[in-house]
Amino acid sequence: MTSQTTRTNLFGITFPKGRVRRLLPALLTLVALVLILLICGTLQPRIWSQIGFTLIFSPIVALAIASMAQMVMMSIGDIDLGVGFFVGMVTTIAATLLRDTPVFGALALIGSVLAYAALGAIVQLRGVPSLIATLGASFIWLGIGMVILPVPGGTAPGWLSAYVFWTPPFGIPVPLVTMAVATAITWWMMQRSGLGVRFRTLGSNPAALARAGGSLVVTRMLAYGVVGCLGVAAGLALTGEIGGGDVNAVPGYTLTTVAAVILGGGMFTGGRAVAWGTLAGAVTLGLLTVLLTLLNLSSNLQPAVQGGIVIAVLAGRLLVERVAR
Amino acid sequence: MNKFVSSTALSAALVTAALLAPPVHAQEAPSVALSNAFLGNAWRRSMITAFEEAAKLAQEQGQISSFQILNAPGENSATEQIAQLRALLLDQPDILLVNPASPTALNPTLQQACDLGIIVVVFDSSTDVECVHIVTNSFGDWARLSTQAVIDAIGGEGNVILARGVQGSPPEIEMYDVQTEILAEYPDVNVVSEIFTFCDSARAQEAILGILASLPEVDGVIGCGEGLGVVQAFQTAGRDVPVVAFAPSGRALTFWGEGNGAPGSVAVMSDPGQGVAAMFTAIKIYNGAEIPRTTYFPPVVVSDDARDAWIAAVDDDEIASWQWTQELVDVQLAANIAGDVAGAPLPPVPVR
Repeated sequence: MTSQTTRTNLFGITFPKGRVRRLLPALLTLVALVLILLICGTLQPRIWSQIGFTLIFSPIVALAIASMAQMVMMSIGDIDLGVGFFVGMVTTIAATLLRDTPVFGALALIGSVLAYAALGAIVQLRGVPSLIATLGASFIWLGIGMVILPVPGGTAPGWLSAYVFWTPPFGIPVPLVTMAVATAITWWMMQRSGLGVRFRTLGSNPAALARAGGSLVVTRMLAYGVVGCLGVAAGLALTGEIGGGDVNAVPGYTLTTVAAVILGGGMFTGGRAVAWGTLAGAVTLGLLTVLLTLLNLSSNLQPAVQGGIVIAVLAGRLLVERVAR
Repeated sequence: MNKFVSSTALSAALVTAALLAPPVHAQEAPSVALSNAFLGNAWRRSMITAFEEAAKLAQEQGQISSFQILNAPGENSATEQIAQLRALLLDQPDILLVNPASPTALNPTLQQACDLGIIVVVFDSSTDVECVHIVTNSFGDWARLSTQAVIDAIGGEGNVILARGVQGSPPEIEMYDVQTEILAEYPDVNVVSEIFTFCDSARAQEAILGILASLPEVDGVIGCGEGLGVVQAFQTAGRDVPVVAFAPSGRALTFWGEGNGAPGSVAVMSDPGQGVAAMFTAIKIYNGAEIPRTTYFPPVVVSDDARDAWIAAVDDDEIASWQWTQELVDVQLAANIAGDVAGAPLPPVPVR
């Protein structure tokens, strides 16, 4: 296969075509990210400091990790419409059970990961479209969260708050480190481990996976389990950020994470894993709020500008993909 | 008359108090930032419009040095508002006014703002963070004003429907307690039905149409702003229109002004001008005044006789709001300090 890799010519250097197609959209998003950050930094020079970076990046950590979960889901060709409420449910568990009875709380979190794996089995065995299964599951997450905390409240475990608001020496901004570590682990798993290969094959060519002797059910369950783990991590990050639990904290994550994956070069059809691209996508979407705040635009213009920037990046991606073809 | 005397006495007391209190920041006017969780309904838009007008005026008069208004993107998302507030903290405004997406999720961020020495006032909501001041309308007042108006209009006797708010929500429970308390004082007022309308006109219309045929003559509907739908339901059924509680939106007021709704009807809602009240309260705090942590301001009340003046002051797609000024806020704060919020005079009808 490798011998027949088609190559593409870019700025006089030739690259394997597949890699170009995979990486160019993410590069474009990265350029947008850097531009937005530069504009923000010009408007508010205090950003260029440990405290500045911590302030503007810490609200994005949970979104970035939740986007990793969505990216794994989309790499196997599924879409998760329940991730927003799942993350919300995790915050309610973390702010009550995990704080008061850590063992019980940890068991509850492990249980929710297993529930995700079971969801994967249902999707594979019964042929239920993932959209339907995860949408249905989202109401279960919502219900459980409502039972645990009918009104938003609770308190984040001390160690979690301490971590989120930690200012380590040498000017290291904690949120950037957290995001980079989460992304690196996801990247390693998806690109460098056998598990990742199986996930991506399940997304692009399930028949090939079955012929190679892989179990479709087990692979899908593992993938959903990984999504659940990342969802739990995102929920913990969010709990520290909001200082408590609220099942309705981030219903918007469901679609924002899909947008982050697409901005990062992912596809709805599966088979493509873009961990670093997704990180760039999530941070870009998160920084838009900061940019709009610093620009101090008229209230009525803000949503339009936000939408305009996302459309511009996606249109740029379309253009870039055409050039790369 | 009595109210007048007490308000004058209170403002006199307040002026003396202000003279005695040491001015802390008196040298320069503060900068103000308002963070709003979302812009998706008429109430929030009216709140922003009212604040923009008042803040511009306050800036011209030198009460504040500058102001900015920020609406978080999305549908009332706490995380978006947290991101927005964090970016605002870099700016370090002197005063931060917050209409929060959630009464709990912003707590760590509000604490951070306090730690940076910013005066934080949350309005139209509450929070547990100790360093934050809260400016809000009391739901009890809202229920008291609307219930009393309807009972007075029907002469203290007759059949009423009790229209309740959002099922199971804490504000509804608070309002219901006040309503039952007042109704207990009027044994001749007979509650013929209780329905949940979510304070929403369309839901009320549906609910009333469903039960109306089984009800005797209804003289009044005690509720929280669903009057428009109630009146339409009675008109559809061909029954005599009762005394109702409208929402003070331009549309409902105009509908009322066209002769719909029995005489003595009322319009009550929490005040979109709370943002302005919060700003003037924060300026007092900035200047070193001792203000209770939570201060209550009156909801908007439109009575029969003031109705036409209000219609002239409220646009069709707006919610009516009090036009707070530093003087009016001072009077209200004094009433809060004296522990007599219910006795405080209402502000005058706005003029535009």
